[in-house]
Amino acid sequence: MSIVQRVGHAGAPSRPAGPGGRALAALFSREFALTIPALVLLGFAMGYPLATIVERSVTDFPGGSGAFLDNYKWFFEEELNRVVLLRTFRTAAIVTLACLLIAYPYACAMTVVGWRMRLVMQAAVVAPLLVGTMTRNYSWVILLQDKGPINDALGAVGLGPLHMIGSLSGVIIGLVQISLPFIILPLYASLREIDGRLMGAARSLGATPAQAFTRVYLPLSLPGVVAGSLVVFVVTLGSFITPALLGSPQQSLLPQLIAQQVNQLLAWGRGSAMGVILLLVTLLLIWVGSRASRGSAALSGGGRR
Amino acid sequence: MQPDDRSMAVGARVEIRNLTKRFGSVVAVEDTSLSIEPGQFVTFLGPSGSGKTTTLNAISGFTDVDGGEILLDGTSILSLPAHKRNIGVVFQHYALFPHMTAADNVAFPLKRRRVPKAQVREKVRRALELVHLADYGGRLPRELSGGQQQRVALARALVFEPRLLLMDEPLAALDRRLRDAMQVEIKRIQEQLGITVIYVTHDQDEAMTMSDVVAIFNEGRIAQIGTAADLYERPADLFVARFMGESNRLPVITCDEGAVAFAAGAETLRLRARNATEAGVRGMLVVRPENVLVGRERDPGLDSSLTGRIGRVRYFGAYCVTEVVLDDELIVRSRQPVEVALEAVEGDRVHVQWNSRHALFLRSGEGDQLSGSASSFLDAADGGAEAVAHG
Repeated sequence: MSIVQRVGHAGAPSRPAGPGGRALAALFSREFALTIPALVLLGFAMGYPLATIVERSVTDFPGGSGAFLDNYKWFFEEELNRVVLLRTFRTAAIVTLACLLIAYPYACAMTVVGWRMRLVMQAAVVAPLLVGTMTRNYSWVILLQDKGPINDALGAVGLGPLHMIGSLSGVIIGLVQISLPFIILPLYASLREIDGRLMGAARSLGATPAQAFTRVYLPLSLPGVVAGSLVVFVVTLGSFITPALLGSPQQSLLPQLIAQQVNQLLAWGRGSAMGVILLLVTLLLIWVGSRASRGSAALSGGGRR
Repeated sequence: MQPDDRSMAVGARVEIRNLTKRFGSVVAVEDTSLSIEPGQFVTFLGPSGSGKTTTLNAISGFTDVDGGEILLDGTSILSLPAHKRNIGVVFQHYALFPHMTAADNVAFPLKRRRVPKAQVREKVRRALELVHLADYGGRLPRELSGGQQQRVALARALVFEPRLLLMDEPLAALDRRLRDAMQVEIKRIQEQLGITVIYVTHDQDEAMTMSDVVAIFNEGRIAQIGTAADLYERPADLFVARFMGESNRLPVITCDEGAVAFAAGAETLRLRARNATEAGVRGMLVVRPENVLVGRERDPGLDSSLTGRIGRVRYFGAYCVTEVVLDDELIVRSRQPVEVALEAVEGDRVHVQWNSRHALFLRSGEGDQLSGSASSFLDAADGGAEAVAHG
């Protein structure tokens, strides 16, 4: 969620980037004090375990001894690891793209409907979040079965049956549904800020409706697109339950592989190294994405008056 | 944009015939017709909801119409979508694209028209020069002041050399001083390019100083169309008289040609008025405050006079506004230069007087509601009118 907040901030006129003295003063400001409980919690619940993982990845080896980066070397030498890493990213990319294709028109519609309809649409987005993760995943297990309701429906119109459960396509369907709120909400927040009258101006200047969309609306919506996509991508990369329940071990994703190393092989060091690699790649993506969206958010910021 | 290619950008003739537009059961524009000559600066003036913006949107293509015809140089444009009408539009809210620099904003209409790159650069440069923003092309809209943004919007609406420019309250978001400067600027550009301009505003000063022709809108119809002087000096009805400048309005009833009866307290006075024809018509006698003089003595040069006592006197530097309260609590205002205005104390009994060639009779329309007191007051005058007419 931190990305959403950062993008939100990027629209603000000035960022407190100053000499070290000022940063230090800010550190002890009253506003900072308000974040202390959260920071303490994060420090214990995230910082400490994370430090342990990093430490283990360079000290804990399967044979009992090894060189500093041996676990990392192992990861990249083993072909299965590389295949799974690529599959994980490819799956995350497909899920993100599918989410975007569903979320963009939906969020667009939310900006133009009346407030009553908007409330209904918002509720429809948020409602699935109120249902437990396990419930949702098992629901998909039921729905996607070879003799489940979806295949029944497909059969009734002369299609299928499709084999969805226990395959990557099942995983993707599940992940798309679970991730949708995380892209619709930031996207809607961004589209809402676009001045609809700009489309009229574009038309008056000779732009066809399609050109008004591609030259004006789409560029102005990019901050929301980047923010929402990034959240979905990152959530998907780290998802474990959905691939475990809807996918198959033959097509496992990186989090499953990590779990296997830790739970079944008790190779804490290797599992940690894989975790660190996943974390680093994710951080890199967030960094790139937030830079890109900060640039475009700064541009669209001028439109809000 | 330069004088040499001026012939290309000469203004369009606009004809609106029986235009009608309804929003649900509300009639926004009703059977409105209007003819605009090439190169004219026409202002649509009226209160909000009077149909002026709806008419403008019908011309630009933002709203479709329920009836009537709009012709540009004799050709109907109603079947054309907005992006094919080739009409420049400037909005109150500027509507600059926030993700593009000023130059890219100005280049936008040229790119949509597939103008070659080198020409785009040249035309953008000239358009920005025209609005005195030659050095600001690289700035983003948010880095420009409100006035500069509106000038970029103007350059963007002019760069593709439309023959008709629509402006929808373009200066309403600017402060007074900037607005005055922009009025001069817009007028200069319009005269330099020779294009037809339709300008929507609710500011009558703006309308009077800039326009060749002003069309006053009221409840979806054009109440009157003419030069600023026409509208101010010869308003067609009470709405126009009230909307254009300040006016004193006295409830009267006509008694014969050129004369009306006014009930001043217990007695009924006969006053001369332009425009009064047949007897027995109710309406208002309209006199502009600058034509009213206040004096302790009767001025022999002024043929109409009422008596009252001095009310509030307001000092505006260049002039004073003196209120005179008549016997029946009606107030007549006089606006005179400070040296001419009577030095008077509140409560002094004085004469308010004017020359009858400045007094205009206008009949009450259906929409003109008279207050209860004015109505009973008219009834008193009614009886009086008979007396005067036959006496």
